[in-house]
Amino acid sequence: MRRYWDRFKWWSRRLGRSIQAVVITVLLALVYVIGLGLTRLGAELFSRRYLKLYSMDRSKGSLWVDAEGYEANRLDRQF
Amino acid sequence: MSARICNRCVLPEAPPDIRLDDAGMCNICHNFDEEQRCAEPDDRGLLETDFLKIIEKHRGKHEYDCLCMLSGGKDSTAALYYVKERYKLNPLVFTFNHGFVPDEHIASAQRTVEKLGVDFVYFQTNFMKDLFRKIVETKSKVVICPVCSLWYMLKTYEIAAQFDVPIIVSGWTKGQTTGSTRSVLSKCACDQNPDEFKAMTEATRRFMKEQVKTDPKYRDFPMTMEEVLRIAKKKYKSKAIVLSPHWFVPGGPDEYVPVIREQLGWEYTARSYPRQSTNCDLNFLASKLAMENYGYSVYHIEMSNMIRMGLVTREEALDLLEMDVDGEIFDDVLKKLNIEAQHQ
Amino acid sequence: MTILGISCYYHDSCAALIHDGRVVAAAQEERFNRDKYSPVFPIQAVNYCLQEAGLTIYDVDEITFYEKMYLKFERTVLSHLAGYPFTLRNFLDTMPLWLKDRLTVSATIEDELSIKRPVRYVKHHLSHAASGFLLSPFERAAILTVDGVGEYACAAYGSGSGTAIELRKEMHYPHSLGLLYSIVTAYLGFRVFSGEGKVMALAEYGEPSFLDEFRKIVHARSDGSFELDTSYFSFNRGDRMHNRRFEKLFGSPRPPGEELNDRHRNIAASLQRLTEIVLIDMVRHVARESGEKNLCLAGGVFLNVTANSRIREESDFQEIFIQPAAGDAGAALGAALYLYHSVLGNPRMPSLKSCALGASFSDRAIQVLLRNRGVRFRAMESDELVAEAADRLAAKQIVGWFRGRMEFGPRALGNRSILAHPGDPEMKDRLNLIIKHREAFRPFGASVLREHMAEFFEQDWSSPFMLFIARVHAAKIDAIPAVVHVNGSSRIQTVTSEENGIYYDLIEAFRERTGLPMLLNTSFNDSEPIVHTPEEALRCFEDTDMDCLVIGGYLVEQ
Repeated sequence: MRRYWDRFKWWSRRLGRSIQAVVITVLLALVYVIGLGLTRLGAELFSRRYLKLYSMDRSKGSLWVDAEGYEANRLDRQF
Repeated sequence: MSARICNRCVLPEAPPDIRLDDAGMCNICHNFDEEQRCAEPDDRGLLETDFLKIIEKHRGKHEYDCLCMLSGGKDSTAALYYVKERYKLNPLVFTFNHGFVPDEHIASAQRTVEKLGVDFVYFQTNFMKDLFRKIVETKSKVVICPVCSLWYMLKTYEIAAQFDVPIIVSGWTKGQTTGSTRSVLSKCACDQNPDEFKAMTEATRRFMKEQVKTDPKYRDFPMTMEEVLRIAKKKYKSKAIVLSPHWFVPGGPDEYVPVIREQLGWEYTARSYPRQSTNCDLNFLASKLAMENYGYSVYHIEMSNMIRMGLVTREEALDLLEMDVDGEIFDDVLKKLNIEAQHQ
Repeated sequence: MTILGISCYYHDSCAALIHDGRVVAAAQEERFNRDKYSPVFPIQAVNYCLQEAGLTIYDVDEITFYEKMYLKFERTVLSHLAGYPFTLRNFLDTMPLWLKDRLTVSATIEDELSIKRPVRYVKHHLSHAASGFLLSPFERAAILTVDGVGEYACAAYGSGSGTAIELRKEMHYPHSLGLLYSIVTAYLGFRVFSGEGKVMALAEYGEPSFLDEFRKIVHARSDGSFELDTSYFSFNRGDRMHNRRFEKLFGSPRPPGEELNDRHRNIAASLQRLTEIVLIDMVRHVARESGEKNLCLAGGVFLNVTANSRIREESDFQEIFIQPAAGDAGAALGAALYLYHSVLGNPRMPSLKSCALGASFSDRAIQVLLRNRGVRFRAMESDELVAEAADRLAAKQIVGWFRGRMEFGPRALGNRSILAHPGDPEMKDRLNLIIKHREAFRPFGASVLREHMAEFFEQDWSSPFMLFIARVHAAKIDAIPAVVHVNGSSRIQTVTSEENGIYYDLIEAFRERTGLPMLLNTSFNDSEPIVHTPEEALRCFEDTDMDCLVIGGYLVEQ
């Protein structure tokens, strides 16, 4: 009896995890397509600064920039 | 001709439940190895932080954080020591005496409790004496210890419920749990029925049905550990979980005996079976009868587990399990049971 | 004061513990869960560290984490935004990981450890910098950290003085040397994180004929900074980080397992050469900017021993220190050290002389295992063990050596090692083929008695953590072929009596028998993390063709 119950619990856990994964994937896809899409559109129109992560600037003399955010009084923050 | 003994643990061949292969290794050892090989990646074994997760859920929410079962032996004394000194819990300590616990053991428990400054419940009764006598007189194959454990676990749950204690802490060793991580972390790890216990469990079940349930004095006595849990939940309204810190902390007696010796002045008692344990005198008779009936006792099972877990060598286990006592102890026990010695 | 440092979620999860003014324990989670480079929360390592110190989690005063996850998340989202809409697949793969636990580090720590303690988040490169400088023997030094990427920074430099650390400049993603190395590692058909060392070894078999091609991708400046031409890469767009344009330049990628050819070797050589050039330029720039005499290095890129040695020889710094767990495992320790010294102002600890910060096992536990397993073994006193092992090594036997506390970091340094005769020309192939089961081109390192270094090597310097190579004297190459790489150099660990105890005695005993003051030393493992417990050591020994195993005070034979 216990063995059947254990099996049942195992299968329902698996099913639950699969459903959860599908739901999360769909929600994330929506977040990406709509959320990031609108953000991208906004960035293109108003501020391309956020899109410069992979852009090149050969004219730049040095790629070293001032180090930021290393202050000791910021240790309680994750940013 | 005595049965062959597994060349890895100390269990003898006892078909159909315990079988040796051609190489002399028993099926229990094979099962253990198979479990190790097939362990889920996330089954990392029990860690101390797992124990802390459980106790933190309940810390400070009741008058006592836990109920510690204390026999006076090294394992339960160390468990209590951890609970009080290492985990800073507020325990209530419970020691029982069914009439066969030597004064030395009670004194050891008393000393520990005083040294740690914890509250203590001591319960002494002759309630089980008639039942023990029946086991011996009927020449039943039932092993006394599991039957006794039904009684003392029920009593423990009753005390836990009375004082509204959420956790019961035992001193059970790593060798005294056979479940996987998940089953150990379930409500009570004493509801397992592995192969090496099967014959004993069946004998217990038969005895309980034929001899105990028919006796008006023991009409309400639980038949199985599952029933103990049911009664605890329904009658006593106790949801207490049973845990031993030894399951969660690495190492074993080699690590904690020096600590309790130094901190509590604990010492081994003069006489107990197996050696270096603190079991009651009835245990001598119970183990002797078990070996006559099955070829092994519950301590062979425990020691075999500890061998597989790498806590003791096979030679050490065999030495500890050697029963070299004079007949006097058996006579004393039989006398207490009001049984004539020549019946044996 | 007790501080627990944690790193996890990317690779090399680790826990480290500082207690009463010293580093008590540090260990990578992979050693416990046997999953190489494991990224999971290091719960087993945490338990070990506390138990090693005789403490529980209740005794921990502070907890540090090795990076700032929200910043990293921001960079990740911007990265996906920049590549929109082609980054959908990668977004769906990585976001669940962020939502599951990366964005809730405090809650995870509280849940796993059952205590409420403030968690201090130390920036990634600061964690690296602290691990390098605060364990160094220098009162003041320049600091350079280079790795794949932290939050945004892929490299940073500054200086340290006393307990203070100041990072002044950094280079941002995606202009990352570590990332480039990993991309090419994957391109050459090796696994990222484990394959970079292979690429470094492979490089010595090739010529840097693709250097010009690499210069098209990497626009280096004279100050050591550089710009990656991202048009050759496809970040966050699928399984591969390089794209067709990259393949047009270098050819098609090598499928894993395919035979290596000259093109692959030359690409590896070119990548290695470029890495060395960039790093030396960086170091020179840091020397000019800082004016310091000493240099501390940290970050995964400084596991590249070939580059480290060139830096040591060609830079203007007098002394260089590299913390042995230079990657993210070391950052866990670094974060704890930063809080302890730089924030709380505690005086500096003695410098790191030994990285034996992991678990040890009693002879009792080992004996129980050996007896119960029915293996042939003998108990021996230390001097007997040394003599017996030296005899066997001199007789060209392969000896497993499991003694003392496990090393922290990727190198085995005489506590969890497989040892062999460096003078046996067959030994390298024998070890690669039948013990380690790895590629034939991979070299082996040597543990050398410090005082005899100059007899065999052109450089006479200390290398206690096996982070440098040295060129072997031409006349001596034939004497130690098993530890000489194709370029005539050897990765070395220098061994002293003071720091290495019985391991030194063993090598000395071997020298007395053979005239060679060194042993071939490779890590005790076979396609798995380095062995941690006696059970794992015994299993590895039984599954491979080692001749004998020295484990604790016992000698085990097959």
